[in-house]
Amino acid sequence: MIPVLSLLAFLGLILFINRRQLGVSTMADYATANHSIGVLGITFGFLATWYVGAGYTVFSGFAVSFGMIGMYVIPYGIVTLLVMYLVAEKTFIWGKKYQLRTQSELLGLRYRSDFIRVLTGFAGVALSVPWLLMEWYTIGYVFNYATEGFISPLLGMIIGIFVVVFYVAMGGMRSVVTANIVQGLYMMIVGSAVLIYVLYSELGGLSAAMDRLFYEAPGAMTFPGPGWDVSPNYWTAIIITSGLGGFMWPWVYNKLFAADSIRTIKQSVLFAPVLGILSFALLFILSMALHPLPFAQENPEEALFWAHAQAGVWPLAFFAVLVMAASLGTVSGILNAMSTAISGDIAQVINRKINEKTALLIARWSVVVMSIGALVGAYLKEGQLVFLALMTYQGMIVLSPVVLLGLYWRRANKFGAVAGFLLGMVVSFGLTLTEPEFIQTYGWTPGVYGFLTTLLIMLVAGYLRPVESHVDTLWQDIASARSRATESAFATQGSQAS
Amino acid sequence: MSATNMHTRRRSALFITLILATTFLTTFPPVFLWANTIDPRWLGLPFAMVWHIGLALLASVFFAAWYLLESRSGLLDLQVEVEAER
Repeated sequence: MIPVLSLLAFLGLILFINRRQLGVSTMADYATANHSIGVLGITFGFLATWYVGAGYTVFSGFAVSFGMIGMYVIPYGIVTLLVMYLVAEKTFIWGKKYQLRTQSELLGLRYRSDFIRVLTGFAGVALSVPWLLMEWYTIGYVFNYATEGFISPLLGMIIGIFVVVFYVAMGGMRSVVTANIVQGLYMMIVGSAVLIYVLYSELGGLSAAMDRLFYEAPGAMTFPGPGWDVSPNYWTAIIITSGLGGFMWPWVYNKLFAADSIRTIKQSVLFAPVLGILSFALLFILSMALHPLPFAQENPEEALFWAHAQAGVWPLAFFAVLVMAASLGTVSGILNAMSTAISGDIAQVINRKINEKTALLIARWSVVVMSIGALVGAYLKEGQLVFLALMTYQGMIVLSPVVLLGLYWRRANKFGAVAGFLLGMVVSFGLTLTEPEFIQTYGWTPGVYGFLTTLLIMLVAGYLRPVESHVDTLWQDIASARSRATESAFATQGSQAS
Repeated sequence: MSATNMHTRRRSALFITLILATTFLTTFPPVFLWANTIDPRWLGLPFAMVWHIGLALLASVFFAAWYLLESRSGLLDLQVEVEAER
């Protein structure tokens, strides 16, 4: 009873703190909160969206089974944050100047191409679907486990959907970020505390747990883990793929358009790695420490829930809320990004006559329709969700050259971007589906080949064609903003000196 | 290109290199395999894990230094004029 009451109380809290954010009346406010979010919102918005609920089931199960390899998340997180730091300035300047709302709209502006806008908007929506389904399923699973089967996964999903759809559709980005702050604070403070408690109460503390692992399964303390023979290139490949792809998700990237300043975004990069390293390391240390236990070996994805249930009803309740918080954070971000893309990047591009009021209505109804569709998909296709979700990273990394070269290389052009993106996707998903032998032999994941294909095509196309005329104007926007800022800084320093 | 811009570019290149160096040390197979050992252990954690956490924390220090230098130069207080309202 205590776990389910805790879950319901948390959902109630999310609705309560959002009660003043539900009157969003413009599409700009719905999509970007009118560029008004400060450092707390961007930091926790980023962390709560990035941390998926499945991290405490599927991905922790990976660490329970194979040990240290789960730590790939930490170096990959650093690469993702470097990407965030690098794209921040231009995304913010162009985003604010041209009132952009989405990553696809940014790419449409940079390459002056509606086709790229629709293509990347569609790809972002399509690749996000498996994650939405998987997180819906996780929400249902949490309710089912926490109530010892009393609430079915389907009913759990319906309860979760009702809450998320309500605050995302009514409050847009403002509601999403407000909820993310609560979810993120819970995950970092209460979540970390309960993980530490279980580590000490059930496994005797860090040293004792690691000693047990050392004597009973030392193979789990190094790469690749017990019973797995894989090339070391695989480690490199999953870090590169996830690191470059990690910030390309529209539901993560779009948070940049909500920031009130570049300072806010860059401050978030300072806090996020420290918070992320501490909480992820804790999660994976506990998962690794469970490796020698027979129940955990046989049920790796259930292992963390089981360990918390062994520690008592309150640890289970806190842990169930932790997983729920992570899932809600991701789901709300995905729904906001997908509905904005459907309305702004697809509907408004196909039919220019759609006004802002209708666009907002389309976005809101998209949230409802997608949620119901995802509910059906999650319920029917549960067994294949993890495979599908992991496969999408092989597609997301292909987008990274289009974004990074677009922001940093004047010669990058729309022909290279379109051809590179499409062929990179074909290579990446072709290799994923056909699984040729060299993938296993050399250890490089299909996304790496797709990424190199896109990069090569964009570089060749960039040198074959002259720099597009509109690019100078965009670069001039950046130069003007910088020169105004440095002049202002010199003036301030001068006045302080005198 | 102005001297300020050149200075900004060099500073960015330096920090990108430093942060990527930490990633290189955690991912480049020969180095990664060298660190992929259990001993010496710290608080019971294998060296492989300490290596990755330590380098990630070092990268965080580089991010902090980069931010502080950019903040001092005024580049984080950009004023952007809105082109056109929708």
